[in-house]
Amino acid sequence: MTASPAIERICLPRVVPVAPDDAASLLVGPAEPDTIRRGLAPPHRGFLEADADDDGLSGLGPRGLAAVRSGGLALSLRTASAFRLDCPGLLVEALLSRFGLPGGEPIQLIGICLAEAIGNAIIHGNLGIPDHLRGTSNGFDHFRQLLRSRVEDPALGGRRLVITAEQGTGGLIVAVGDQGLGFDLTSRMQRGARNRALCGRGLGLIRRLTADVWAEEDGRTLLMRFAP
Amino acid sequence: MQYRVERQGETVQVVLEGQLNFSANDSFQTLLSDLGRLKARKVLFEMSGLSHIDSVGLGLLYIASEDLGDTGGTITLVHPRDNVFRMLELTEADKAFAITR
Repeated sequence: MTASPAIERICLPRVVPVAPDDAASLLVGPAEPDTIRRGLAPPHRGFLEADADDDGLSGLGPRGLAAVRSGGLALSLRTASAFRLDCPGLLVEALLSRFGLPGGEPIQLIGICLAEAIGNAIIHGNLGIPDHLRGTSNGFDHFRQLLRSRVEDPALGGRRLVITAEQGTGGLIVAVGDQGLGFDLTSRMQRGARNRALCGRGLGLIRRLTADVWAEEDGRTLLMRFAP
Repeated sequence: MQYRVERQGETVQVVLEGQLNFSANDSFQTLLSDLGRLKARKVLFEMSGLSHIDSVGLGLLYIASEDLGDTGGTITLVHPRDNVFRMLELTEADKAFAITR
């Protein structure tokens, strides 16, 4: 039986913004549903997966750090953890309670977009698996084998996903970032997808369900705006 | 994703739980093998235990439909949760699959 992992709370330096705020904190430790849930709930502003001897917040990245300091949420996980956990479900729970979003269809659509964006970031971003493999039944079998072997590769499985959520006057902005090679969002959107296609539907869905979608960092971060 | 298979005469009911997404590839492949061995003709996917489905999971359903269709079998999706049903509607999978709410 393994000992319970230590969870270290890290307090960020107090920020002095236009409006005063309390010190922001993250929950840092091994990625498990309950600890992630706690990190995404007050008084914390996010969860960062890290080992006990990991120092600092480098796994959060500049966008994650900025989101936390501005009152938003951040979740940073390694790909292997994001693969096995219900990240969309955990994030939807947090968004509902944290930002007071309405239940019902609005949050369902946000959940759908999150699932697609996270899936893309894992499969095509961090694991570098091309989209076309899922275009046929035989290709799907190859896709399955490649997915398994790459998730288990420490170098690829250790790449980070950083997901942030910030609420503003323009609505909720959710960003999903990976450490892959990036891609050209504009040309990918122009390709479209057939309805019975085995692949290629995710971005089209995101575009339909969001007020705005764009990419930054050469396509390594997908941002989605949901109107208030 | 976890599943269990229950045979009820000519009908095979597959009770799905968890997420039908990219992480379900391996378990879904095993499920398809099980259905092949059972020579299932009428398959009900009980989906009330599925928390969500993504486009990869949808692709797996289409593959199941093609596999079963090769031997004259049919699939019905039963009791999807609201968010799962919404995904099926948005992708027009509700036109490709028989769905019982």
